[in-house]
Parts: sequence; structure tokens; C-alpha cells
Amino acid sequence: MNSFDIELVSVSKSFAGIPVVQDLNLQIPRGEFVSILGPSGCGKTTTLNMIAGFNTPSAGDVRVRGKSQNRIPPERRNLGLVFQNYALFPHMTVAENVGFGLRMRGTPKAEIGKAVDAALRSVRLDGFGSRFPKALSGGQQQRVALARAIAPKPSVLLLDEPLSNLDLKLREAMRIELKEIQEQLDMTFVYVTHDQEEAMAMSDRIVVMWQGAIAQQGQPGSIYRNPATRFVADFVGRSNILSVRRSIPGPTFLELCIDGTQIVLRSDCAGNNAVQSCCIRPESIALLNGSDSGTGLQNRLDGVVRRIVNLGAHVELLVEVATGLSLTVLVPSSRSSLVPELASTVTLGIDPQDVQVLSD
Amino acid sequence: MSTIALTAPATMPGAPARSSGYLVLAPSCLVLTVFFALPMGTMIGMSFMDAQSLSPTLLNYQRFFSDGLSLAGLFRTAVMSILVAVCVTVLGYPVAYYLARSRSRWRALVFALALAPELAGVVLRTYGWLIILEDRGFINDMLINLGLIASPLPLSKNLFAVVVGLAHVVLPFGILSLTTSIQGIDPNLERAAQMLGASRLSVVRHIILPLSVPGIVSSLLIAFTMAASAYATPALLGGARFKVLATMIYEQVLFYIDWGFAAVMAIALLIMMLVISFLGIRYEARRSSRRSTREGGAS
Amino acid sequence: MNRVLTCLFWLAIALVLTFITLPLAVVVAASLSPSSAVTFLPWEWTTVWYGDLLADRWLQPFLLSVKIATVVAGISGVLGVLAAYAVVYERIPGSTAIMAGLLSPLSVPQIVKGVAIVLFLSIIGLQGVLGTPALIAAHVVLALPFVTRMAATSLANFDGNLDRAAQSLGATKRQRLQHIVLPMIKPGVLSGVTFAFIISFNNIPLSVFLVRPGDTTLPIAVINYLEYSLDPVMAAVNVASMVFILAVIFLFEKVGGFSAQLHGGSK
Repeated sequence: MNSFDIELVSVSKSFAGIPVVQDLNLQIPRGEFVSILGPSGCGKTTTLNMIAGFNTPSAGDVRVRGKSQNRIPPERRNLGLVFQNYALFPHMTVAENVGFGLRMRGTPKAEIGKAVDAALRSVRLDGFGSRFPKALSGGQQQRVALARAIAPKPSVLLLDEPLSNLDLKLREAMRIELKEIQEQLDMTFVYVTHDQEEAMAMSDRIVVMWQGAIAQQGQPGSIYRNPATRFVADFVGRSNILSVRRSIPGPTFLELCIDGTQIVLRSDCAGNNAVQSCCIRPESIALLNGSDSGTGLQNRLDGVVRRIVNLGAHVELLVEVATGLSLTVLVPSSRSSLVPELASTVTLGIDPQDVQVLSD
Repeated sequence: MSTIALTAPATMPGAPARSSGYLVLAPSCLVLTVFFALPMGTMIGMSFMDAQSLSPTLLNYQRFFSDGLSLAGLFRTAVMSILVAVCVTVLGYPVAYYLARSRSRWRALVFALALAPELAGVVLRTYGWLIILEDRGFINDMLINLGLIASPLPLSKNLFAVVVGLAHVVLPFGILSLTTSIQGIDPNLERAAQMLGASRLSVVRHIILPLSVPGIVSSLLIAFTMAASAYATPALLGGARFKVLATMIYEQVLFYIDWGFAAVMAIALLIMMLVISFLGIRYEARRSSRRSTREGGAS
Repeated sequence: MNRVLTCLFWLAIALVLTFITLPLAVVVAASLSPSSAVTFLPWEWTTVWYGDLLADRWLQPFLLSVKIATVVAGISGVLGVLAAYAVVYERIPGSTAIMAGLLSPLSVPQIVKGVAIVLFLSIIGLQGVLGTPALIAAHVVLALPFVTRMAATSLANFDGNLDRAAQSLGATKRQRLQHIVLPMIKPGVLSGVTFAFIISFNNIPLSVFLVRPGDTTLPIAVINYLEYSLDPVMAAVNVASMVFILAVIFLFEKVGGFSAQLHGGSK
């Protein structure tokens, strides 16, 4: 049996009788970049705090490298933590901040100096040692916080929405840097965020949390392509979610009768006749012109364009395909010739493998 | 003393109304002029005058510096105030930390307890200490009855009693000042230090104490100024054997009726207070300028 | 190690809280003790000393203190609000200097203020003014800067947009002051007025020079008595005085709700 770096075994947490995390089971192997993704209030920060040791689980066990942590206070867990607001010590220089963890362990001064230099180099802040946090920009402060957390060479690094205070361009750049640093150090990262793009870009595995429990976990691609529940489909990326009135299992496909309409969609998913809803990603819906008949098995829907929104790289169309049912379609802007006019009639083509069945 | 930005918020509508403003200000200014500015001026003038003949002289000042008693009184006042300041800050710090960080339901009770004595008035509290510290008071009574000592310990009418009494009087203010200061320290800093392996003691030593220095200084200054200008407590607990400037001034005015000399003593006390306040302001100013030079490098 | 530190922490807090409450408990206990020697741990309780409270010796000073405190609270309240209004709301020029001047008495010790006033009055031959009138004037000088500062802070925190909104709805300045500004600064002003009452009622250093025999305040009467004896009656007087102050605060709280100031307004 593998020894996981972090393991949560049936962990629950309630505050004043209100359950915040319910019977959570999670295993994080060495070297993995795991994101815990979810909206505010889903329990992700509480979970992180339990791993760090600032909250004690109401039930269950938190294990680091197989060893139960329930009685061990935060300062003896040897985990790194990067805070959302960085929490840099304002009265210490950058070097003193970064060296603090080693100093607490009684490391000799000469070694601390070398470790601090190495940590600052890995976040590309060489030479910043004598500055004070107040004199640094947000992005630089964030990197100092990272350097400080990794300098004592913890087994696992916990990150609590570290990029949320940065502006967009900086965030995108930092995502790449963080991933590179994680690979270089070969450290396990547990990354908490509500930004699904961030989670998708950086993670080896995403754990989607909702209402205190895991809604789905897996590789970013597979979560995106095959969301398991309505919540995951809606939260990760955008999607059209349709209620299903009746589902008819066929030999190699499923036929879904869409509630409130006459529309029948074919889906490649294995399923039974109790399917409740399905989802279709807007970018997987094609606009067919008259001569393009598509593949034989493709779903075809006629509709009227009700709204056109220019999103820069894409154009978003709202197409009414039946009374009370509209689908969002995403068309690349580079193909502007394909963009229809408002109130015009269009034909939509949807591949059966893009009709994803949801469990609720 | 804290400086508040008492400039009007920029959103105050309408153009400034000068005449009605000045008119409305007049009564306050009148009262303060007649009952504060003029008396202060008179007092300063009196210090340069002979009490009987009202002719100008520097004798009062000469006497202050040469008679040995006055300077001793000044020194005693300063020493007592420093001791009170240190006691208040040391005693108040743990309570202030609790009030700043705790979120339990007992917090309100502790808060009320810490501040409530202020409402009881100086006399009640000083009277309480008299009962406790007197030769026939609570402590001595108990120790003698338990057979631990033969004759009463001299716990009152001396520096010890005055420091204890004043520390008690000033403590609520020290606690309030320290609490506000500690609340200003980001709690995440303590957690960050913990994650980096710092024990509770290290967190206090390396993070909390250094960052509370401004609050500690502020508490020391407030306590010092309140102790130095106190009258009732030193009068009751110090008695004739331990006199501070405030009680000596009282004597000069009401017993010796030597107003010129009293004025000099009063001015000496005032100058001591102003010097301390000035030092406090300079410390504040130096701290903010140091902070802004650090920020100067931000991109 | 951590546990030792935590224990020490709670121990320190317990000790400090004991230190704070000890004199109060002692005085309350002494006021109920039958023996005239003031020792602690009375085994019998009696309220005989409270009976003495209505004696002229205490009643007169008490009534005088209440009278003075009320007048002082009223005067400082009005003047303080007016001054704050002029400086903060009307933004008269030179406001920083003026405010500094209005608050300057705060840096002068009360003893010094008291000496200055008594000297001044004697020099200009107004010794007759000593006693109640002088006390009122001196207490106003003491309380006014506090009230001014509290009213000014309240006004400074007042959201000018509310005033602008009222203006856009057609309210004149007088209407705005009456219906918008004054009600919103009421908690701050009321705390200031309560504070003025309390510091006037309990005041000693300033009053000590300005009282006259027969025309003396309660705290001064108490200290004078204490210089000579430690009668348990003193305990009863002190306790009654404290209860009175608590009642005043409670009353003001009911009227003005300045606990809102404590919970919401204070920074």
C-alpha cells in the first residue's frame, strides 16, 4: 500500500452544530499537485486548516506520511503554508522572513544563509534579502511568502488561494511559475482555490468540493469533459444543462428526451433509463450551414439566434431551440464569417460524445 | 495623545459658512480664554513675582532649584510615575492580549471587569487600598493572625502604596491602549510563524512583542502622564511621608499660601508632562517616517 | 513547554483581574461590616452604615456634586457640539489650529489648571466666586475638550453623502441639521455628555482648590474625612456613589443608546 503524503480518513468538522465538512476521504500521493476547488462555503478552507492543524476534526483522522496528526500542533507538523494575504512579518527583512522556519529549528546561521539564498533564487528574487515586505509589490510579496514556506523543506506545501489578491495578468504568469517550482522541487502541493481556470491550469488532479463533501475528483481534462453532477458541470467551465424527461437506453447510445420539448438527443454515455439531466459544453456545439450535413449520428437542432455577445476571443450566441429552451453556443471570433445575425435561423450540430450525462 | 484627523470629510456639502461658524465657536473660545488661557498666563506671571509685594523676581525659581525639597519632589514624582507606567504595562499586557485575540463569550465579562473600576471613582479605589494596606488593614491583619509576622509591615504611606494605588487607577487605560494596539497585529502572522515551527514562546518573542512595541510605548506614556498628575491617590496613600509634586503644590497653595512658589512647582510639573508628550510625538513621527521610507521602494 | 506558557498566561490574567477587583470587593464588604475597625472578613453583615448616608454631612455635598455635574454636562454638551459643528461641519478656515487650541487643556494636568484658576481668581479679586460658580467654570474647562473631541469625531465619521442626499431632496440646512445630522451624532454626543457628568462628579484634583467650607463636593468631603479616620461609613458613601454613577450611565444608555457607539462606532 502506498504511503500517501496526506490522507484524510472520514474527516468531519462542525462549528456550533453546523456541519462544514462531512465524512471526507482524500488521499494525496507524493509529488502531486492537487487543487481543492469549490465555491465559498464549500468547506475547502476548513479542510486546509485541518491539514495545517489550526482546526481539529470533529471526527476522523488527518495523516501525514501515514502518521496521525490529530494530537500534533501546527508548529510540529512540518508542513508549509502560503497565506492568501501572505502574512509576511513586517518587522523583518525578506531574508529574515525566509529564514524564520530554519531559525526556529535551530539551524546554524551559515546554513540558514545558504538555504535562504537558494529559496530566493528558486522564486527569482535573488538579491531581495535586505528589503522589507512593505517595499515590495504584491507579486513579489507573494513570492517571498512562497520562498519562506519552502525554505525549511517541508514534505507538503499548502496554499490558501495565494493568487487571489493579484491582478489578472500577474495571476496568469504566477500560475506557470508555481507549477514550475513545484516540479523543480518535486514537492506535494495542496492548492485551495475557487478559480476553476487556475485549478485546471496547474493541477495533476482536481478535487471539487461542495457543501462539505467531494463532488468529483480526477484529472482536469476528465472532470471537464465528463462532469459527474450538475454542480460540477456548472462550476467547472460553462455548460448547457438540460433536464431529461425520459431516457431510452439503446445498443451503443442513450436517447434523452429533453423535458418540456420534443427534442431527442443521442448520447454516447453508458446510462440507464433513470437519467435526470445532461450537459453540453458551448464550445462543442457546431454551427452547420445548409450544405454541411455533418456526420450521420450527429444531433441536429434548428434554432433562432436571440443574443450575440462579443467576448473577444469568442462570440457567444444564445440560440432558442424550443419554447423556453435556449442553448449557449461559443464560436471562435477568428471565423467571423460564420457568426450569424440576430434573429436569423441556424442549425446546431452536437456530437453524441459531447452530450454528457449527469447523475443528478 | 492621539491626533485624530478632525478635518471634515470631503463629502460635506455646501460652501463653508464663515460668519455663523465663528459665531457659534465664540462661547467655547470665551470660556476657555477666561477660565483657562488667562489663568495659565497669570500663573506663569505669578511664578516670576514675589507673593507679597508682587514685584518681579526670580527668587521662586532659585528656591525651586536650591532648596533640595522641590527637586527631591520632582525626582520622586518621576520615579513613581515610571514605576507605575512599568507596572501598568506589564500587568495589562496579558489581559490586553486576551481581549485582542479571544472570541469566547467570556471576553465581554473580562472587558467589563477590566474597565469597570474606572467608574468607581478614584476615591473608592484608593480607600479600598487603604483598607488593604494599612497597618491594621487586611493584609497585615491576616498575616498577624496567621502568626507569620509579629508587627505590621509598612505597606502604606510610602512609595509602594502609592505605586500600587496609582497602578490600579491607571490600569484600565493601559489595557485599553494595549488592546487596540495588539488588535492591529494581523493574526495570520502568528499562524504563519506557527507553521514555520515556532513554539508559543517563540511566537510571542519574535512576532508579538516586537510588533507591539508602539502599543507598549503608548501605554507607558499614558500611564506616566496620568500618574504624574494624580493628586488624590498620592495624597491618601502617600500621606506626609511620601510627597509628590501634586501634593506639594496643594500644600503650597492652601497651607503656605505661597502662590509664587506654587506656580513654579506647577510649571515644573507641566514641563515634565510636556517633555514626555513631546518625546512620544517624536517617537510616533520617527516610526511613520521610517515606514514611509521603506514603502518608497514599492513598484 | 507550550502548556506551561499557557498556564502562566491564564494565571497572569486571573491575578490581574483579582488585583483589579480586590479594592472594590473590600470596600463593599467593609460597608457591610459592623465593626468600626476596618478589618476584612466581617462575620456579620449590617447595613447600619448606609443609614448614615442621609446625614447632612454627606447629603449636602452629594446634592451639590449632582447639581454641578448636571450643569457642567449641559454646558459642555452644548458648547462642545457647537464648537465641533463650527470646525468640522462648517469647515471654517484655520480649523486645525483652532481645534488644537480647543483641545489644548487636555495636555495640562488638572492640578496645574486648578492652581492657575485659583490664583487668577484671587489676583483679580474674585475670591467670592470660589465654591459653586468657580467649580462649575473649572469643570467645564476640564470637560469641554473631551466633549468637543467626541462630538468632532462623531461629525467626522458622519457620511456627508447622507447630507447631500437630503439636500437633493430639498432640505434646507436647518432641516438637515435637525433631521439628519444631529440624530446621527446623538450617540457620540451623549457619550460625551455622560463622560462630562462623570468626570465632574468624581473630580478631585481640580476641585480641591476651589471648594469652600459648606460649599464642597462629595469626593472632596470624602477625602477630607479620610485624612483623619477610616470609618466604615466611608465605605458606604463610596459604594453609594458608585451605584449612583452606574445608574446615571444606565439612564443615559437607555436614552441615547451609546453602547451602539461602543460596539459599532468606536474604532
